[in-house]
Amino acid sequence: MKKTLLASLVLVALVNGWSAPTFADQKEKPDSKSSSSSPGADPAPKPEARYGHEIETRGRLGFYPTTLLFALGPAAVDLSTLLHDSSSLSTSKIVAVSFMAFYMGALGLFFDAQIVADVRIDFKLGKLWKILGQECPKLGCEVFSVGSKWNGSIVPKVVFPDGWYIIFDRDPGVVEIRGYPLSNGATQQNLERMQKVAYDLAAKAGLYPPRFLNLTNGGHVSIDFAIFDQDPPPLSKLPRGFHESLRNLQWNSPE
Amino acid sequence: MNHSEIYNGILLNDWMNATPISTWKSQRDEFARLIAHFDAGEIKSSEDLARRFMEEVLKGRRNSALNLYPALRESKRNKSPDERRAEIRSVRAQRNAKIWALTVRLFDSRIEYLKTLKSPLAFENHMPSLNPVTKLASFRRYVTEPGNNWKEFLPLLNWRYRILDSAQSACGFVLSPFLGDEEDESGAREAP
Repeated sequence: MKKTLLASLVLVALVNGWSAPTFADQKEKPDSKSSSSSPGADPAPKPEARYGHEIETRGRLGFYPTTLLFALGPAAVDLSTLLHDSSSLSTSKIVAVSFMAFYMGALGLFFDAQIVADVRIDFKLGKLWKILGQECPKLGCEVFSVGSKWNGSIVPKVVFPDGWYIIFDRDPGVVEIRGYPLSNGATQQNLERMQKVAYDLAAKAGLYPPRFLNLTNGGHVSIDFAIFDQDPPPLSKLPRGFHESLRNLQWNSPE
Repeated sequence: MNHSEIYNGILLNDWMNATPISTWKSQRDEFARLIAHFDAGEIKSSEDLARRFMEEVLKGRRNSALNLYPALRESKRNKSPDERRAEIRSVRAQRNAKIWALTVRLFDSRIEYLKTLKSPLAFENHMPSLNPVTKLASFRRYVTEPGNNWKEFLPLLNWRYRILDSAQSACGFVLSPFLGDEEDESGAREAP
């Protein structure tokens, strides 16, 4: 019984992830001087693409009642049969009911993720808000309230004096972190404070990027579309340039 | 379209929130038709091409691996005309800021590489491969063609493909005839 329980715990942990790597795990740390530079500052003089991001994070999975109910339902039927008439149980029936319990448990998990997760996320977001209020003065940033794009609820926006910001927005089942659009070079320069605000402080509130696939999962990359208007500069070649660039977005190769 | 491995397991495999865009033949045929229109000069602007791509190829599904609705000025998804963007959805959530920066480097280097090409790309209208070895080899080309070091981008792979890559490295002499790799020891090719 203990082994079964332990195996279930491991399975749940594997499916949903159990830890969030911190920046301290990284061997190479970015230059601390560069973190104070402007987010738009980039040594390259030519116009560059800017990249925005949406990282969907979620709280750790707990024991959801619906999951247990769905999973234990078939098992309870099995147990009651065993108690009343043990001779009616066959190996094939036990196997069938076990499979049913597994899939019903997965179904319960689905409902839980949809219904319970939003409540949990709201709770953790409130906790994050409190942590941001405590930590932001030390980091030199301010916390503002903005409306969520999903349900209009109030969500925190962390703004630094140079304009660099991060919004902890809401979407169904997740916290969607949206950041200031940066070029490739500026992204590399702002790694440290992005790690601090978007990952470390969020982890303190129990919000982590999912390690494995969940119902929704993504670290969407947005590319400034204006670069396809500029590439190449002569207007007559615009379609051809975009043709290549669009194919790039669809991950083509010139084989 | 040619690098379907990116949304078929390499960076993400999410059929709910980042639906593949070249799995069905109808989608590939529509895309080939759109490219033909483009080559014929019927599509004049990038925004028009983006609109037709979303409507004709993806049939309006914004939860696809590539979402170009935010690139359209009149789209409800676009809050500001100045913030037109192409949204690549088939990327898994970055575990830390360093992985995020690596993801940006991947796409940025690819765009810079494509700017250097002299001839248009050829669209390969065929069913995406589901073979993990083929997918990994294709992604390796995607990374190394702009001149990137393959080993630097290994953190983007999930554990299955990292094990596969390690196995390939360990017994490369066995698999190399099937992969057809011609990289040098650093794993990078020279950009043209």
